[in-house]
Amino acid sequence: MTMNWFKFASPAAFYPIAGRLVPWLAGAALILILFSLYWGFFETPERLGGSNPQKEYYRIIFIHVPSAWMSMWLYLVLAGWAAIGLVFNTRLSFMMANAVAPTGAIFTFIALWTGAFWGRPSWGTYWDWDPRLTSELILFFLYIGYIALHSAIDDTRRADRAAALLAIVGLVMLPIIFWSINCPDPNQCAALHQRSSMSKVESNILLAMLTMTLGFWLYSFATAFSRLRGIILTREADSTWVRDVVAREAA
Amino acid sequence: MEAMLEFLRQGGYAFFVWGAFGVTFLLLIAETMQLRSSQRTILSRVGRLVRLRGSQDAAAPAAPTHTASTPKTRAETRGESR
Repeated sequence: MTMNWFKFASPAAFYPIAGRLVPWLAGAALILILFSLYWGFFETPERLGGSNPQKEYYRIIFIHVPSAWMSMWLYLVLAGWAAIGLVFNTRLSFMMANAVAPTGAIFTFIALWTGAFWGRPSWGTYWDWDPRLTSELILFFLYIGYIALHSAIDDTRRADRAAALLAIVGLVMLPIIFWSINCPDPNQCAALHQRSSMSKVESNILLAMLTMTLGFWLYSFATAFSRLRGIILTREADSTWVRDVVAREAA
Repeated sequence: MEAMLEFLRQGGYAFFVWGAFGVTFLLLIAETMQLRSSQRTILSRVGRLVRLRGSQDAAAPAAPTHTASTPKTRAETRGESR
């Protein structure tokens, strides 16, 4: 069977597809996020944990954990598209990487911010140079670095390649972030941050957390595709199909 | 009313809970609004570029097509540079 896998790799083909997907993705994201907020605030216990439970502030988990997951996942997506762009030299891949970066940076910031607001009541401090916190902060700088490097180079193709390389080198941070709390011997990585133990979480809390994750995931798709449309139009402004699109959408 | 106040207090941790949730959704809403407005800006800018090129083609069919000389900011130029 021969199938042209690169058919949708053409910006002209992907632009209308993304346009049709965005409202559905955004709508589904909104529904999931609202459901998660309702469930997280009204259908969950007031306390988390056994002998020394966390009080109401544990509810920050419903945005903290999903946004932290998204921050790492989106970086993987960003570096993945950057790598595909370098290997196959497809224009759309670089544009995808570009479109994902700001959303990833926002989720990384949210993970850090909500972590600080959770850390203060539970650990007594907003910030600590704990392995997990520090590596997540470096991830934030990587996103910022990617965006800054890309916008510092005027030649788009060169900017794509340089920023893609930075993104791929930055991939080294992902296992560090993961193992910074999940290392085999807890004494080896003396972390303030708890180890992840999803199996021990109460089912209502887990439900709210997972729906929020799915909601954030769809939100990321919606924003990335929407940003991608702008990038495509800007970069392909010379081609004839853009002329038709602009004439149609302006009308 | 009482129940609502109780809900807003979050057992005395209102500052942390609403500080975290508030900033999160403020950022997400800001991102969506920024995307909307930038989409409009891009459409009108690219439209202007396309029209400009069209009128140039009509005036001088032999002229190179990529001589758009509208004043552009650095950010705007970036996407089209080659």
